[in-house]
Amino acid sequence: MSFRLLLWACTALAASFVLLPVLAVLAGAGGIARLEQEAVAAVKLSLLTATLSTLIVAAVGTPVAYLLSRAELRLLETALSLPMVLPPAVAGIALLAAFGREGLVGRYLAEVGISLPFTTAAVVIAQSFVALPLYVRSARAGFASVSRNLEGVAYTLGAGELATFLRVTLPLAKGGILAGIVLAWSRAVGEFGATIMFAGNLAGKTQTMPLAVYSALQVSMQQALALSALLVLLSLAVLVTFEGVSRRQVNA
Amino acid sequence: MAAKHALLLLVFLLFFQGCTAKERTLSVFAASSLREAFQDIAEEFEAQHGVRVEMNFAGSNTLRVQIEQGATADVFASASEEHILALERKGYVEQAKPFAGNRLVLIVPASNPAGIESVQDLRGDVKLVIAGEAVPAGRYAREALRSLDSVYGRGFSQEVLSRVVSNEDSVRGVLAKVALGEADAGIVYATDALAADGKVEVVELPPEAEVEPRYYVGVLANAENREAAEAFVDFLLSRRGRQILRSHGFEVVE
Repeated sequence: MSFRLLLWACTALAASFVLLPVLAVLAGAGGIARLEQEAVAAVKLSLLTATLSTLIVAAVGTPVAYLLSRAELRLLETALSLPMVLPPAVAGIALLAAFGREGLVGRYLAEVGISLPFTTAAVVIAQSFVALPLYVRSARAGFASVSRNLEGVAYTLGAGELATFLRVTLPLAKGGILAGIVLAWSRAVGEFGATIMFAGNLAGKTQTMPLAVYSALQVSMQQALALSALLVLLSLAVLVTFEGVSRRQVNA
Repeated sequence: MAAKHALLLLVFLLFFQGCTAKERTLSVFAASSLREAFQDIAEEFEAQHGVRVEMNFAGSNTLRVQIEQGATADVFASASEEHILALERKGYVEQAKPFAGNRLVLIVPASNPAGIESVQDLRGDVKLVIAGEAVPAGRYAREALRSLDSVYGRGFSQEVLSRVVSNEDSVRGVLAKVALGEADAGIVYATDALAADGKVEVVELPPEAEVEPRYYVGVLANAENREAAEAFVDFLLSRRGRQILRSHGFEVVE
């Protein structure tokens, strides 16, 4: 009985710790209905770039995840996870060192007239960089759960490798892939450190929602609260959708 | 057992440090352009007064919000009148007074990739970086460009501002982007250009770009270490303090 009580006490503590700041944001933003023009631009840009990043990450990450689930490539797997644990500011510096105008690769891009820093493309690159490992890990787990016997059956029935992958493996790994997409998308929407360092901060072009919140806080707490509230609601919507999707997966 | 002892020691050390920290440290919030000058000033002040000075450098607007939100500071040095007077009106800061001046310059990377020779070249296809509108250096930069409309024609400032690729959160963010060579040009204080160790070239703004950045300093109303805070302000305004400021390129009255 007393153990039960302890569990509930800890849970209550954790729940209030998580919910209190979130409620404070919503309560603080209550008075402000009007969102600045810049905020609207930030929301649009965030939705656009995060969706693009997720598409890129899924397109590139799916074959990688499948390969990792079928071959023992520990070193590669660890290396690919690196952006997940890097402090975002380091990710920003790394992207500058690689793709900046005087960077390792960037200087050759500059010669042919391509300059990535301070562009919307730079935002997408920063987001893809940090979101890729999250997607790959989740999709990999999804592929790993698909029995090789099922693939074997498909082969014996005359299906080619690609056909088997598309019609047997991919549908069965759907859970991990969808979870990976949601994870990648939320990480991309939240990306801040690498973006502000690599892409700069310009409304409508590189100022995503987290950057807009940060910029707003440099003017007043009120503006920052209003924008943060919007981000909270957006994140909540993603979470609810995710829960819904994964529940359907379980029931199916 | 050893772990338990180590933990006890840690708790003791943390407790001890907490005690001493309160009495002997002075917390100074300063505009990011003051970094090198204030580091020198703090060093001498520490030696003279036996007080440890902790610095927090950021855009003056950011520091203002931090103070409004309850950050504990003893001294606030702002790069503009606006932010410190706003705090004074609300009772957070007392006796704000000017202590130095500065001027704006255009900077380009040492390699000058866009070949910028004058402020007029900013009309071309260049990547310009300035500080955000709320940051003093960003506001001064916009004012300077606008005052140049009378020289280069109406629409000049608008044209140049359309070349801005990033609004940085402090003047040092602008300096970094130009020093890295990522931006073609930036507008910073003359003192920032000096602090960049030759990584940037200065292009002077024409005299018609009339802005006079003024630095203000004040003691926080709820300063935990009022005596030291007042001593720090006195030192800043003293002959020696002004000498250090001047050596970093700031304009000070004799």
